[in-house]
Parts: sequence; structure tokens; C-alpha cells
Amino acid sequence: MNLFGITNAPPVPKIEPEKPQGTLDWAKDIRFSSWNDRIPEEPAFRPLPWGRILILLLALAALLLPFLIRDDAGIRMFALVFVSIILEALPFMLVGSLVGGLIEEFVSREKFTVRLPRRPWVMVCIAAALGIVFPVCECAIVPVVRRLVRKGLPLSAAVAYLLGGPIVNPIVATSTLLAYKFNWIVPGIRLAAGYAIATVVGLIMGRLFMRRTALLETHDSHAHSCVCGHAHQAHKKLPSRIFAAIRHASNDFSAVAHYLVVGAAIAALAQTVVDRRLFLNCASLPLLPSLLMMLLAILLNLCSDADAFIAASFRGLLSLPAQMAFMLTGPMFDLKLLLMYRTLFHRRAIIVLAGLILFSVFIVTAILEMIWGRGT
Amino acid sequence: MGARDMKYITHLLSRYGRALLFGAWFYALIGLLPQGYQTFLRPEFGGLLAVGLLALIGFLFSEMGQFGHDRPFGLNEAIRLLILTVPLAYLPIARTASLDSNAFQRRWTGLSASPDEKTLMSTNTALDISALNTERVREVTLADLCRMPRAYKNRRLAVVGMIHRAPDIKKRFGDNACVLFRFVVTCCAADAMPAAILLIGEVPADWPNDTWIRAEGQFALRDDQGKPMPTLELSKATRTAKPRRPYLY
Repeated sequence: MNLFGITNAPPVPKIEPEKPQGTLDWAKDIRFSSWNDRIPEEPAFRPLPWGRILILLLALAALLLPFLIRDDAGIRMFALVFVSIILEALPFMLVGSLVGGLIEEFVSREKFTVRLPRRPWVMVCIAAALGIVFPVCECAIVPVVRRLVRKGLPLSAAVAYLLGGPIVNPIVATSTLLAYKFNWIVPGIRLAAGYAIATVVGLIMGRLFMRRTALLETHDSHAHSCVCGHAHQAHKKLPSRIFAAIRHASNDFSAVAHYLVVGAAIAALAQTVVDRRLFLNCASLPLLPSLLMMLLAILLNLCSDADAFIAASFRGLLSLPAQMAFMLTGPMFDLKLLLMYRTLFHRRAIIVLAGLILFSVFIVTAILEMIWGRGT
Repeated sequence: MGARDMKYITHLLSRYGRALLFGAWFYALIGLLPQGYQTFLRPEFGGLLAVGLLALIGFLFSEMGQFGHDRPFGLNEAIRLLILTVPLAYLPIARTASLDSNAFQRRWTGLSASPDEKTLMSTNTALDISALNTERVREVTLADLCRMPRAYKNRRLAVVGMIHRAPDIKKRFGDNACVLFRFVVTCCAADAMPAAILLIGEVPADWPNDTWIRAEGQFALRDDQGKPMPTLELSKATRTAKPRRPYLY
């Protein structure tokens, strides 16, 4: 017996309950036992889905509101901003869904996975810069990545492309250059920092999560149920393959677009209520302006092609690191993206991803503030 | 409404819900396409919307091709359909709205020329065109003035915009001071930023905020606590109709 009154007897072997035949061995796939997915028990009775009923009622109220209050200045501004965000994002999302549908139908899983680089870090480094070749904004990228993931793109590379694509691309570089009056340093820092964050976060996500614990199974009501992995599409004729691609695209669009609407509504509300001059009151404090600009980027849900112009409007008022915090956060993480990530990741993965993005942006802006100072 | 009716509605929505939704969006976009979308987006987005419309037609045909099949329809699908319908309900109000003083107050971060212009003003004299003929009144936009205030210094200008009177402006610059502003759109109304100058002169008191005016006068860069402030010393103000395109690009 030791000091604590515990005998040094050999540990009693733990008897594992016998695993029923046919169940999945989750433990093999999960590195952190605390993050294990619980297999839900079959409920004795099915309770009413109050949460979803509440959402339904809220959506119904939002639908009726413009018919009840028409002349209020606030609701008119809300409506204008709300519809503007949706109309701006809609073509990109529709085209993104179409690209996703074409990938699903015309890219075979075997060929796709064979062509991926063998070394994971190389794949992540390439994926984070893929936006240079395939420039996509953040609205279009989610449906594309959903399909790439289905084709076997690893989690780390998917995250790297998801985060890097909307920043590391020529359109964003050009718009940032124009917004900052051809000052090459700003787009240079933006693209380099965006690339670095996308790569690092992609690698970390790949270390922290297994594919199954991070990524949702994407169900396509029209995809056939065969799981053998062979490319059955090759047997179909071109018109029917195109039709199938459009069907996949339509499903993808329906699965993601409602998150865009909710995100746009919250952003429009924020634009109707938040006074931007409030952000200027803390301009002289260290790091706080960066944090507030990150918050503003999350609330405003701006397109990555246009956000540089908003950031540039704070020139002379807030420091460049604070402006950079705005330009780095928005394309990687804002309200509509937070909701759209729900079609791709499990909740825990989203929480970790959001934390990593915000932490990385904060670190980058802190480093920039050390180098650049807090001057405007 | 009985359970049987509910079942019938669910059946209809499961078969035709998405097609109806895509049809409604198609109708809305067609209505916006000639020029109506410019209330929300910059003119160049017309092509993108047309591409989106083509994709939507594809989706519509794809859904119509499955009219004979029931798809699973639960609360989740009903929520999705309802949420995707919400923007259509706001479209009629949004089409008649435009960014005004209310938006200006929220988005305005203050009056001053950009730091680049400040540097330019102190170092570069090559662009000083103040000695040129200042008699002729030149029509400019507020966006031009805010982008290159130095180029218009001391010139007689005419500029169109909306007026905004605020207590803090009056307090700082006197009772006859107000702001002339207009929104500059990069992509859409959500990212529109106000281009604004200070207006010093007699603007009739009965003209409320958001009145469109054509202001004529001498442009100057006043010093305000070390910052150059674009200012128009008003000689004439006339009310004008709202321009066909209220935003600048």
C-alpha cells in the first residue's frame, strides 16, 4: 500500500463490451478520444424538432415583414443591402455549383486521386495557391470544394484551397492594387499572408482531424448508391452526363444557397445598424483596431473582390495592419461562410477552423504591427 | 386544414417546390436584367447576372425533368425553400430604395483627402494646375474630387450630389456648412462608400437631407487639424432631379 492508501496491485484488465457485428470502428479513425462522435441511440419517442420549427417561423416572419412594414427607412436600407449581397453572390454561386456538378460528372475519382501529389504538405502548398489558376470568390468556392472532397481531395488540401482560393488569386490582387492606388506592398502582403495562413491552417487541420471526423458525408439524392468507386459515368452519353452534372449542381445550390441568404440578412442588419466611426475611437490602442476590423469583416460579409476598397476607406484613420486584418479575415471567415461551412464540415471542425483562422490572422496582424507600427 | 390537405401540399411541394422556386428566381432576374439590377450592382454585373440566369434555366429544366418523381420532403427542405424565397419578398422594396443619409451616417468615416493626396500636396508641385484658367465652370463628379482633390484645387467646379446636414458639421464649420455626398459602388450597394465634400455657403433651409442638388463654386483644400479637407465654397446651388444612375462607379 502506498502513501495514499492504494495497493500496488496489478491493474484489473478493462473488459471491453463485445462490439456488435456490422458497426463501424470509430476509434480507428479518431485521434482524440474526447472528440469521438457518439453513435446516437434510437429514441423511444420522436420529440418535436422545436429548433427547426423556430427557424421555420423566423423565416416566415422574415418573409412577411416587408409586406407589413414598407415605408420605414431602416427596412428599405436593409432590403437594399440584403438583395444587393445576394444578387452579387448569386451568379458566382450558380457558376460555382455548375463547376462542382461538372467535376462530379466528368472527373473520375481514381484519376483525380492518382494525380494528386503523394506528399501531403506539397499538396497543401499547391492547393493554397490554386486560386491563381482557378480564381474563385468565397461564395463559389464552397460548392466546388464539396465536390472535390467527394472526389478524394484530402482534408488538409481542401481547407487550404477553401481559405487560399478567395485571397490568392489575380482578381483580388488587382482589386487590392487599385484600391491602394498601385501601392504594390499592400496586395503583396495580403496575398503572401493569405497564402501562409491557408497553408498553415490546412496542415494543422490535417493533423488534428481525420477526414471522417471533420468532413460531412455529402448526400446527393440523385447520385446512385454504388460505393465501389468506379467511374460509371464513362458509360453514359454526353447529353445525359451534362444533364446529370446540372442535376448535381442544382442539388449543391439548394444545399448551400439558403446559408448565403441567412448570412446576407445578418450582414444587411449589421450594415443598417453599425456605425463605422465607432471603430475609429480605438485607433490609437495596440491590436484592438485589428480585432475590431476582424469583427467588422465577419459582420459585413463582403466579396473578396470588393473588400479592399472598404479597407482602403480606413486609410489615414486606422493602421495598415488593422486594414490587413479586415482583408484577411473576410474571405476566409464571415457569417455567410460560417453557415456555408456547415454543408462541408462537422460542427467541431468548424469551431476549430474558425479559431485557427482568427488566431492566425491576429498573429499576422500583430507581427505586421511590430514591423509597421501603428501608423496609418 | 386537415392532415389529408397537408399531405397533399407536402406532395406538391416535394414534386414542384424547387422548380417553383427556380422559376420565381428566373422571373425576378429577368425583371432585373435590362437595367433594373443597377439599383443594386454596378453596370458590368449585367453579363454575370445573364450567366447566372443561364445556369438557373439549366436548374429549372433539370427540376422539370424530374416532375414525375417524389423527392424526400421534410422540415429541412421546407425551411430551405422558405429561406430561398425570402429575398424575393424584399425585392420590390429594394428596387425603390437607394442609399441615402441614413446609410451615409453609418458608413462615413470622416472628411479628409486620402493620405496619398496629402503627401502629393506637400511634395509634388508638378500637378499644380491652380494657375490655369479658373473662370470656366467645370463639371466633375464627387468621386473625381475625392480621388484627386489636388488636381481641382482652386478651380471653379459644378458637382451633383445629395446634401446632408448634421449637428456636428454645423458645430465644427458653422451654420452654413453641410456635406455634399454621393455613393461610389465597387461591386454592389453593400460595399458602396460615400464620396463627400464639405459645402460652405447658403443652401436653402427648407431643402431636407437627401435633396439632390447641383452645387457650383470654388474648390479648396482647407486645413482641418493638419488634414486637408475637400471643400466647395458655394456660389450657386440648384435643386436637380435624382440622376438616372444615383451611384458613381
